[in-house]
Amino acid sequence: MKRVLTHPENFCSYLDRDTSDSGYEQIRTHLDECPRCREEVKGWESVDAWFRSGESSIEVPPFQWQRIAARLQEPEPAGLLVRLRTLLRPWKLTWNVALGSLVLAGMILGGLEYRRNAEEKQLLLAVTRYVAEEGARIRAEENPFRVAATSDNPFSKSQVSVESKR
Amino acid sequence: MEAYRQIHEGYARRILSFIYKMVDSREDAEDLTQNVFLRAFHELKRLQDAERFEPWLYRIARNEVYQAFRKKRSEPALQEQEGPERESENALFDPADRRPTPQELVLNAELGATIQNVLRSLPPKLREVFVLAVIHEKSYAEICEIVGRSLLSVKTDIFRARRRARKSIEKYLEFQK
Repeated sequence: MKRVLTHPENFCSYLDRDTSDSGYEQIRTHLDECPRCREEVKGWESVDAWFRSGESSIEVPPFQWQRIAARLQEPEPAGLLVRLRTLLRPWKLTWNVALGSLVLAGMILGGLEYRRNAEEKQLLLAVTRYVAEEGARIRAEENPFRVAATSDNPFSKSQVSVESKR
Repeated sequence: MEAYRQIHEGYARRILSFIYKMVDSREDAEDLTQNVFLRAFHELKRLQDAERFEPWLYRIARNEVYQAFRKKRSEPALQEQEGPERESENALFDPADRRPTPQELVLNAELGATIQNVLRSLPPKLREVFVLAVIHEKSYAEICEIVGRSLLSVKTDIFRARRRARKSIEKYLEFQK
């Protein structure tokens, strides 16, 4: 009994006449024997009734149907793609030729650009290789430590060891 | 065309009411309702099951509402200031026998404005399930289908919304304690 009063959500199903709810019958039976809950439900029902009473002030504007009927008889607006196609139809051949030429020009320019890039890449590789080789050659000629390895170098390891033995 | 007219006649009021309660602007709600029906009629062939038409229509309405929210995210909240005046304007077009009395207009407008004030205080996630469950009396299964959420989440949100709404309107209603 107390649960019904303190949890009005329990009788929402009753207020909304949701007979599929398992609690509906239970609440209905309970209300038959509990005046307090009956009063509570009456209060909630009066709230619902108050809201429903305002419905009489709703009136459909007098010429709404005529406006809808007029709109229904208008041809359906075509989509953007259809409209564009209709617009371009008189110059169909011209547009096709122009589009084809554009694609062809794009392919040629792209091919040329690719070839130019490939050549540049080759040249860059060759230059890099040349610079590396040339650098190595110059270093080999001018490196003093390479000379140290020869026999007439006083700082040569073998010379130093001979001197120290003496 | 006649079939479309009948569909519009049968559902326009409910869809307008749902959208109005969500966007809180009569003008925007009317425009969005018109969009909902246009979209529904254009996409009707996609509907698999004719019996699911109403939840499907509500779902379109909900999508329109959220699209409008996204569009207006940077703008300040929409406010409807001219409710009673618009009611009077509409009344001019009505035949005399259907025209409400000035007192009825004022009372209806006041009640409508108060309800809108309370609904405005709810976040859209709670507001949508509250409007569908309480005001439009949709079943939980239909609400789940419309909002694309689980039954548990929908039930919890309906309860939360109810509790907040009740708290907000306590000053307008005298509950029997």
